[in-house]
Amino acid sequence: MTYVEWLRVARCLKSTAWVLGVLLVLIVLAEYTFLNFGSRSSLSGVELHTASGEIDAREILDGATTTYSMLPDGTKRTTIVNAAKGVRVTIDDHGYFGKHVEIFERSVRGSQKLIGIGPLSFQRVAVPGGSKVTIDTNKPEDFAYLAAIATFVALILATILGAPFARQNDGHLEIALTNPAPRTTLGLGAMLADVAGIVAAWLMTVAMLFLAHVAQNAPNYTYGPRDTEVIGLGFAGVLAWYAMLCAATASMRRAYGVVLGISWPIAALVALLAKVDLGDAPMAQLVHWIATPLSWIDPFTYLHFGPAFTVNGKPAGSLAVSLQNELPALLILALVYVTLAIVQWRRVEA
Amino acid sequence: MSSIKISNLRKTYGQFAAVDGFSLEIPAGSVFGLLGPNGAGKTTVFKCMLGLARATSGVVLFDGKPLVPETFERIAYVPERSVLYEWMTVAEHVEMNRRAFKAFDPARALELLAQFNVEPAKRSRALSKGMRTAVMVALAFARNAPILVLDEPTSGLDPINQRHVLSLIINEAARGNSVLFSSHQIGQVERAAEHIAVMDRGRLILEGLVDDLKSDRKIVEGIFPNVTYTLNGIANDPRVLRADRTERIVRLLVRDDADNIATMLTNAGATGVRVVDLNLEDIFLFAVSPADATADVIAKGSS
Repeated sequence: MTYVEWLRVARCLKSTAWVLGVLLVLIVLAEYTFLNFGSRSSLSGVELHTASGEIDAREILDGATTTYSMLPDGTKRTTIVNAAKGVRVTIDDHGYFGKHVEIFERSVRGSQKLIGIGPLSFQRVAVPGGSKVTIDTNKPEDFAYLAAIATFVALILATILGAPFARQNDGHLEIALTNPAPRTTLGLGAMLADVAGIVAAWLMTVAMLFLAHVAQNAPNYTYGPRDTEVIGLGFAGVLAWYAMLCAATASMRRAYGVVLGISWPIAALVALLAKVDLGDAPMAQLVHWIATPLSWIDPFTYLHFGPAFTVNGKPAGSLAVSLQNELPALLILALVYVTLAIVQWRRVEA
Repeated sequence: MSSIKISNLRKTYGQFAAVDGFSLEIPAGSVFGLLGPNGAGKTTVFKCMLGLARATSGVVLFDGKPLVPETFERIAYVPERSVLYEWMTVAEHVEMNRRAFKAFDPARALELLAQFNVEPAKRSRALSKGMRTAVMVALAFARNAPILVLDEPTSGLDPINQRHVLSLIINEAARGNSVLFSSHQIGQVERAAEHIAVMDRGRLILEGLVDDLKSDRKIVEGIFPNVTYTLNGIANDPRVLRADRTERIVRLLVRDDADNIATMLTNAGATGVRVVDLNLEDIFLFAVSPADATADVIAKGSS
């Protein structure tokens, strides 16, 4: 049974590798397009900012004076000045080590903003006489960013693999039960194979993101204690999630796919209903009253999903960033669910 | 010594007893055929024996010891339906068995698969029902297990491969291994098995050596000159298992000493008395459906 699970995991990882490979190509193409688009490559970065409609790169170039210089450290500096429009753009191109773009705009009156997406950083601050936009294409990146995305992929794989017992029950139980090994050993072996596959998917995602980064920019990662916490919490969360699905499907023979399919919306809904203020209406109170205890056993409660953005220096929602008491809670849940899954599966008859 | 000893096995599903007080001993080195109509409980007996289903009560011993996971190093099992993984190749199933069982012989498995014309590179989903059965049989026989439990091992196979499976079963017995198998094809059981047991409605209703059962039981048929005859208590003779009268004809299922019963029938005034031999199919039918069996046997005798 463990061998079968290894084969299943290998097939899953093969599919995952294909998906990640396609994503890698798309990301590299997108990065290349963003950083080196056409003849105005020196304006890359500015282009993205113009998506907000505040600056149009063509307007900047129209009637602008462009000068090129080489700084002592080898940086290529492009300076674009359009006095008529009150725009001054300074682009320091560090080549493989990224670009630093500063845009002074006389006419723009925007609020202060700081947005970070991985190695990309956009900051707008008010300065005397206008506002300044700073764009960095290779800012030091928190490793947790990669870990969070990898955790998300690992969660998907955990969901796909999350019914090893039900798959066995569905017409193959005779193979497992005539194996000269105790059922508990077989069950744990199968789960171990799945967990190894989930970890492999996590590593593959980190590798893909790393490759996507180094395809255009030099690696520029930072790693601190928080990253370890994020990784630890992410793994515990994925483990608890996988174990929960195993427990939910351990005695099923059919329709386990439905359970796996609805697991995300239900778990997310339970976690959400327990957290949000539903008001004082009796029905709302009842829903909250039901959702709250359920959320205690829902791994999603201890993980947070959303785009990995920072706005004004604060997470605007990120994967696996809640770090206080969640780790022990998730580990306990994982242990309980593994036990429940094994106990249930031991009772299943062919 | 018995390879398998089943004592008073009982398995209930709610109020329904799928197996009820089933006891059987399979001698070491023998081929034992388990017969029974659909729903008789044969598969349930196999499942309870092997721990695939929990028996409500009863004891099963293998070589005198209760079943533990390690016992499966010594037992090869072929279920009645395919349990192969659809997405795996036959070769991967061979590898799965190699990893699971110490005595498994992959070369032997591949040799048997070749004999069944199964390509190891094929995925299970691409195999026909018979081919799947063949794969499971090949994997079981490559286990080198001293006990083989085969539930319908010829199901879906063509006549050539059916014969091949029977040969494998007989060879196993020749090597001193024990084979317990079920089949709906009584001719196959008759060809391969030395012992048979017949189940009906969860109960064991007949058991013994095939040769003994065949030599023990006969049909004695007599025709009387008119319908106003009397059997003078012959029907109540303990050797007469069943008596059927149809106008001037009387048919008696007799155990032991059929000639003597025939003489008694002649003495009672019957003319045209004759003794008809039974085959295993007749014995089976008598056991599970006596009325049908009598008609069938008599029809055969008349022809």
